[in-house]
Amino acid sequence: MTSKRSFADLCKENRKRRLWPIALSIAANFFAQIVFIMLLISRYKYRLEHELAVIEDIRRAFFQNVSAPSVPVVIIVFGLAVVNALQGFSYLSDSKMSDLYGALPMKRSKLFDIMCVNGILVFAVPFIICNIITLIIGIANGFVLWNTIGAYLLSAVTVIAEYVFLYMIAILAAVLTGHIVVAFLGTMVFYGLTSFYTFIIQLYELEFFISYSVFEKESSWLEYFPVGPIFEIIAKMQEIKTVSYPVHLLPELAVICVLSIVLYFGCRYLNTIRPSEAAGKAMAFKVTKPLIKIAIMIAVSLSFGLLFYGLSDKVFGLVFGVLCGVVVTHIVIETIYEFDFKASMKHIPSSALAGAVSAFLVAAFIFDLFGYDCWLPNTDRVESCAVTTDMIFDNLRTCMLSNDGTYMYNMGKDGRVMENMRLSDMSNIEPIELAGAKKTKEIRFEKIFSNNDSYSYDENATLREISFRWHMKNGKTVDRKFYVDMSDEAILDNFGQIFNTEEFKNACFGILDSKPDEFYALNYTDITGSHIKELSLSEREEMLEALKKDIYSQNFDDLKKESPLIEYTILGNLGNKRYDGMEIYNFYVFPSFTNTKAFLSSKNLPVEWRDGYEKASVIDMTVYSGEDDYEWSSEDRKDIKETVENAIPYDLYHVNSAVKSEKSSDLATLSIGNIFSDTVVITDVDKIPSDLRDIVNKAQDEEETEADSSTDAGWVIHLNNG
Amino acid sequence: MIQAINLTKSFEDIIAISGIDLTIEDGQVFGLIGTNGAGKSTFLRMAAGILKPDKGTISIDGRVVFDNPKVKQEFFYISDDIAFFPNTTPLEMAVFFEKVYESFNMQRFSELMDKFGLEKKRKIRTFSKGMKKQLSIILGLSSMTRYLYCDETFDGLDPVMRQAVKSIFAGEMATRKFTPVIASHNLRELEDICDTVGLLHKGGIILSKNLDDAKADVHKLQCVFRDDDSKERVMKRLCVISEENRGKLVTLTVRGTEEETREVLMEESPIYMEMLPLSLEEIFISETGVEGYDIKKIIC
Repeated sequence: MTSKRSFADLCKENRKRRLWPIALSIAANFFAQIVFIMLLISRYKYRLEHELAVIEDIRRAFFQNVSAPSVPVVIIVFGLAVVNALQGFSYLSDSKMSDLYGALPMKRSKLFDIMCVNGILVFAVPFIICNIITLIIGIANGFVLWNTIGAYLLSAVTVIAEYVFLYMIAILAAVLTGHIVVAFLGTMVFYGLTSFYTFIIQLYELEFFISYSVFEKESSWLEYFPVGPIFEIIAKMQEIKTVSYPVHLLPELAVICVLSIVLYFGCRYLNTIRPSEAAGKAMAFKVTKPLIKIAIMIAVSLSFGLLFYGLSDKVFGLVFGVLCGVVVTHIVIETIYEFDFKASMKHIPSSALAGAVSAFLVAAFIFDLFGYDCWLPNTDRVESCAVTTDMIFDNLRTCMLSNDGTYMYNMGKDGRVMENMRLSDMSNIEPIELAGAKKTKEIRFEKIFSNNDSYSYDENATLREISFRWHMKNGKTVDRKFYVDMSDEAILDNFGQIFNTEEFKNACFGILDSKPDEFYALNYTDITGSHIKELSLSEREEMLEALKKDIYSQNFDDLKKESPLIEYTILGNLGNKRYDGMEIYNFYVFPSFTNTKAFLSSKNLPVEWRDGYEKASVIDMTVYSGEDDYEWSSEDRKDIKETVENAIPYDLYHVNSAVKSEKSSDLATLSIGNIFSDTVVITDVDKIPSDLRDIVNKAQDEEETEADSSTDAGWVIHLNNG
Repeated sequence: MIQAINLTKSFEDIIAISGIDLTIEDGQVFGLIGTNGAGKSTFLRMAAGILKPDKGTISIDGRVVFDNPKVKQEFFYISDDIAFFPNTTPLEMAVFFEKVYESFNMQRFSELMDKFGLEKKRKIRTFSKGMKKQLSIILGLSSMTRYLYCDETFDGLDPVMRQAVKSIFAGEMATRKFTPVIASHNLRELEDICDTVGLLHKGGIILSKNLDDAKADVHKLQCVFRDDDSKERVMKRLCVISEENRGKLVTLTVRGTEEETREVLMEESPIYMEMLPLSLEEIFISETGVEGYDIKKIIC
């Protein structure tokens, strides 16, 4: 541009060509900020009036709803970034407009600056104005304090920085392409391709790496690049306790600012060398065509492969899927590139390369070319380790307090162990690791080539999942999950030694951390139904003391012999803390829990699930064979006693799979009139009434002959208490 | 002076312009002619700095055009497919160009709008194709640039308007430094306005010549000879480019000076003889015929 004409003048002139984006931006910001907050204010007032929340919570919520983590703000940031970028640079896709701008006495870089700056202003100005109005509304209602204005200001800067980053990515797509639809598709590819890769790779790891652990490390924003840092900022701002700008999100903010600057100069340069004749074509630069095609093609072919593998359960399906993915993507992309279906026969070599890379990646997963499944850490480099298994206490629940102390979240036993256990003695862990790695090697090809994962639910408790988390001395954390043959006495003994440690029990049993003032009642289910028993503070103290003694004194040799008698759940006294349920812990009472049983008896609480069955006048049982149901009923007191005493609810039975019983049969349902009905396991078939035993044996024989049948055999017992 | 040296431009596999060397002197009307696809628009788009040449250079007074705002102040480009900003009026376009072109003359714009009878505040989208062409010419003239690149601009103008534009061009050339460069596939459209023409064919320039020079060397004449021997002697002595016989009336296009031609003919004392004006097409037939081109297949 000439020196006579100011940059601002030209920007102003360009804004006349952006009337509808300006109107859209004003409307979007008005609704996403002012209207949205007005709707929330009525809810805030209601909550305050009814004492459902305190003013500090409302102030924090107000802050979060007018700044970066606000869902409407996130939506308009993403939406307007794309719309403004593609609209502003739409002249690059229109040969007539491209000629008009191209012939103007103006440097391409200056034209780019004008377009770029205006696209930012179109969003930023309405955003700031609406933000200020929202703040005034907040101040007027007492939801915003003057001393927190700085936090609001920084938050607004953050939102604008997020917008600029997303906007620059969309501009990159517009500069690299020559058609507005392709530019939009390109923007979506840039936003989502890395995340899609991360997702697909995780699915492959889950499917093909036997030792892949669901407790895998926390995801890094790099895995969700480029939108990862933005979501990281949103997540961090959602976690704040008070109205303040979380300084620890500055690294992510710095990343998006730096990347925005890099993108700005990159796009500016590309715009300078961009051929004008690209207007109307799919892609502006020849060199980017194969690169983008290959990147998309690998992702699509891998996902097709996985889809076909899932449908066919065969490796052939995987290979066929990859091939289909390559062919389909090649045809679609080449057709888009040339806007001509006939072009689908062009540029075969680049597609072949993408196919080869996909094939290599698939082979790497199938044949474990990088040794993921056989990897074990060098013990010298391990600082500590966490070990957990599905063999015992798989249904143990616990809760954890969020970092800011405001939120209790439910967590399974394994998650708790992984987070808290730090075993430094590797002597008992190493043999289990080695056995697990060996077994993984044995079963991985069976699993992959026949898609047979029956080992993962082995009912005889021979193969069990053992998960490890190694904390390495270099600060890294590695997770693996192995299938280990627990019928090996030596291995079982190793695990028993681990179980017997106080460290294991502290990590495993959340109840050991429980404080008497954290809860107020017990919830339990026995043969007469579900009940809640409130406890006084002293009773709670007494109960926790008894329970802790019993848990610490229970060793693995005890555990191998006993199934739990009953399950209790602790109902939380949460105060102001938010929680997704009231049941914060559960625990099981075992025969060896003498202290706990004594406490429960003293409070007239049941120590066994079957307590009170003596009152039942009739028992009914349905036995499933997989094909037919067999009914059995008895009013005989002896029959009732023998049946109930040799049965255990399915859920309780599977709490402890370390117990071995050759005379047990899995899967049954117990019912007592309309009060109680549950699936049960017969613990000793020899001890049940003889006519029932005959039915059970018959059903078992039938089931064995129908081994291929998917229906499990079982028994339904109906107890009728009159 | 606009100068193209070894100018080359390809669109993927298609060579649009191949090694053109061309000079356009100031103070004349330059016509760029050729069939569809000959490379006229590509040449003008490179001259306007829209396209970057693959090879060679195009410059104005020795300064390269591409991405050079100072040089681009020297011309205004009127595209074959005219573009205006959506939903704008002529006045808004003029305001825009006023901010872009240093020499844009708003007064001149108003005068020309009045002269052409176009409304300044009417939406351009309501204009006919011809009116849009007129507006683009008005904007181009109002920018007061040294060069005006017109790509098929006269196509779509009615004969009256075409004459008006030609006379305005003449007026501009008389009052200031002004050089229109007009690309067209229609020879007849250009023959009464151009001083110099460049003929493009398949991406190459076949010739570039001043029309007066060309006319001085080629002549068209009609005559009736006394007998066949007389005609044969004349044909042998003159450099005849084309011959057409209608009974005894013979029409010849010959190369050579007017005096020499007249002298040869007068020696044979023909019954009837008349010198006829040459059309641009005939000049090109004569010029390109020398180089072995079948001009009738090249131009229309």
